[in-house]
Amino acid sequence: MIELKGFTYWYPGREKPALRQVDLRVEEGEFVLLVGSTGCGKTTLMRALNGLVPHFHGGRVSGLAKVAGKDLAVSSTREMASLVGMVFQEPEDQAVTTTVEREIAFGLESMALPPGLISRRVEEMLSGMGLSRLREAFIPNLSGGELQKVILASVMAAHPRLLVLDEPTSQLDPVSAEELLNLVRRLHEETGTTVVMSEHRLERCYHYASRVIYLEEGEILFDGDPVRAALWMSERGKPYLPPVARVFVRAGWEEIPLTVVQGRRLIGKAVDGMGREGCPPHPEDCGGEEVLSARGLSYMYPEGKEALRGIDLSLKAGESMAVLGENGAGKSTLVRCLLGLLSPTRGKVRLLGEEASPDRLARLRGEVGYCPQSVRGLFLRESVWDELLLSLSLRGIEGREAVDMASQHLERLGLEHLAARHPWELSSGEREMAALAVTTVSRPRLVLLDEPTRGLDYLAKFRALALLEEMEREGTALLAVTHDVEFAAAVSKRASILGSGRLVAEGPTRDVLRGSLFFSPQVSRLFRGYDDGISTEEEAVRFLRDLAHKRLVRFPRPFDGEVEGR
Amino acid sequence: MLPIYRNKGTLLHSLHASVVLLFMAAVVGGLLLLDHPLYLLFLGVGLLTMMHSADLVGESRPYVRIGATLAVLVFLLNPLFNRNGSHVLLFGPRLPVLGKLDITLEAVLYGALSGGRVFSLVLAFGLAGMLLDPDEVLRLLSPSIWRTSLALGLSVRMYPTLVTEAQRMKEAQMARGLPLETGGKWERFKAYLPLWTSLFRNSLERASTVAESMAARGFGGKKRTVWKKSNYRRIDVLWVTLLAIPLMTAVVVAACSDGYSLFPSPDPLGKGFSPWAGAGISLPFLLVSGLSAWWRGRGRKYLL
Repeated sequence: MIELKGFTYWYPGREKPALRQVDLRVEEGEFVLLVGSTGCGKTTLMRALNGLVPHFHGGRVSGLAKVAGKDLAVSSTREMASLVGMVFQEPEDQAVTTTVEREIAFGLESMALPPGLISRRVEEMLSGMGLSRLREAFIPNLSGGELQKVILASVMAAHPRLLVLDEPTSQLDPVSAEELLNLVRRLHEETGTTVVMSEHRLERCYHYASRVIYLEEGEILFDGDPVRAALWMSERGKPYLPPVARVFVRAGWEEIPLTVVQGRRLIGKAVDGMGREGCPPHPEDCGGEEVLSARGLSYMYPEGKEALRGIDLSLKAGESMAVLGENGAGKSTLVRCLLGLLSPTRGKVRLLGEEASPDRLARLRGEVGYCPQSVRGLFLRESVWDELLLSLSLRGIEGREAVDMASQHLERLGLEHLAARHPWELSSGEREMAALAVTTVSRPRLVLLDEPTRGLDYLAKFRALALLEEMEREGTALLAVTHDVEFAAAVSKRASILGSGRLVAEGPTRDVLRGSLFFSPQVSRLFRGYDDGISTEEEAVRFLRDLAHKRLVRFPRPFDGEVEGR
Repeated sequence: MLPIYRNKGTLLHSLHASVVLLFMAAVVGGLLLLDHPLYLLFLGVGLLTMMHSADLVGESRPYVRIGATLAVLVFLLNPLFNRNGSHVLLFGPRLPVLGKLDITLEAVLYGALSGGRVFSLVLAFGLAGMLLDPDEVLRLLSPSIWRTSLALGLSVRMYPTLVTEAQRMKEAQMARGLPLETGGKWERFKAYLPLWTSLFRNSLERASTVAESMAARGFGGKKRTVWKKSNYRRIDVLWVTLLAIPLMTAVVVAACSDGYSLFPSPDPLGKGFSPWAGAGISLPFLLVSGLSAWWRGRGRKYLL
């Protein structure tokens, strides 16, 4: 299906190739997972598979690239469209028309298929993918999950032999992501479609893959089955494993499970009736001064939709809270109300001791760090470095002190190499990290993050976590709105689940997450019934090490148990 | 932000684009051609009824604000420039160029009538914008300008996204401490300039992603098929027969008999008013209301 030999690609005006001497052969019917750090060339490789690289993006290529027998150097993207279907990250930026059925038909019309055939394919996709009820739905009214399913349907309507998915779930809540990936798996199994997918949240898809490819700086460094990939990653300290595998690797176990079921089986054998003390509870009260509070907060949009209903929450200095919930539950609206950017319909919000309002926010001059969901709006200057200096100068920090703070901050986040780069040139994950750096460089007293881990690979996520933990220890209060339950479990002491504008659960993170099937981290599901208190990887690793010592589980190969960058 | 088309599933949103266009053309024609205050009142109230029936009262607020502002301006300015009329309410000073600023009762009434007309016209265009699917209209107007229609359709779809993004950018920068709302106009302009630049770049990047997605789905070839042209349904035929044609006829009849004038002194309301034409103008709107209510109930299956 795919044959690349010595394939090298340079984006226009770049000296360094984005892909370097790539040799790859994928047979029909395989499910290939691409992993690697952000900016390592995954997206470029996927773009090359349907000719977007170089036909759409320009630039230079060398080497051979053939997909479904077609030479990509001479086959246009239009020719490849009927053979290769591609789904991108942002569902909103892919829809072209205004209704679902028209969107599904769009590609088929472009391929000049006869109207009768288009009707048949549209019907097939609507019923096959459970979209019939949305047939005439207006595209802007769809949720992120629904829209991504529509885009997948519009791509699959062309009956492509190869389906390429570039982080298709990065914008979706856990339930929508699960639904979408189940659909992909079904398409793969029932139609034999070859799938190439990149995804940072490996817990969602690692077990579907028949093959894992690891890329670094545009080169393929590993190519093999998932079990061998897990061993290879663990031996080299690479974090690109699903959490269930990673905790076993870090704890030094011989056998590495890839799914929760396999992991539970291993723990079950080892525990074998053995008693176990629970993890110490999280501290519930850090005793700091209250920096943010909402009492009876309700908000109604001008068109009459009630987004928030009677929210009560409080955040003290040095405390952290994660807010989870499905797409459209009101999480971003909550953040905007807490910042005073939206005036509540009812209730009160106090921000750093005073009533929240746009004026109050302006007067705080950077004491509050806010990283919005779409980070593109955060960048105004020509380089990441200038952005950091701007944030510091707005906080009144200039000169030598600002330079020192900015360089230390970039180093802490592993972003030194991005300092001179224009924020708009960065990959989505790099941009997300740069936004986090810009938001936190001036050490604000309160940090509000809206989906901070979109597009972040594991390494970047670990660095972000380490920084936030450090800030928390220094007294910064943190509120993160996220779909990433693993991140929520690791970063916050308290968690809330927002549903239809109400807080349906609120309390210590592990209590909230263990009571949920979908909004719980993979490690919580792994230890359910063995130790319900476990919700973070650190706790899981401690448990497994402890268990291994008690049961004398062998450690056949040396492993320091630490992941690179942590 | 001005609201745009969003299919709310109401009867008015389910009509064929050409039917909505025809009906709105009749309304706008009436607003432009007729002078009798009762006819204009019927049309204005009719528009409000349509808004209610289309479940667009909330969304119409920006249009109401713009229309009301323009109407007030017209109402205030007209008496200052209009010297006609026999009943002087206020004797003003003589000014260079403008002459004597006497304000007459007729000029005030004319200002009110013109203001009402402007208000209704703004509402009519706003309503048309919220009822007409841009894809359908542009396909309808000319199949030969498909690419232009697609570009326009995309712009219309992206417009709310862009406005939301501008708002989010402003919020992010305010939280960062950027002084956007302090100082004079020039300072604010300077503070906002990088935001607009960033927004422009942002929209270019978004456009590039959309283009990439379109290219990946085979867009850009010379040959292209059109899958489904919207078919006329029972409700469209009914609408044209019972509402659009009677309204157009009533407007033409009313325009022919309308001899109402406010100058030199206001005609009595009975003059130039045809009760048949009045009924012809107001009844279609009552039907809009009735049919919409039926649609929401059980009428949908009979009307499609």
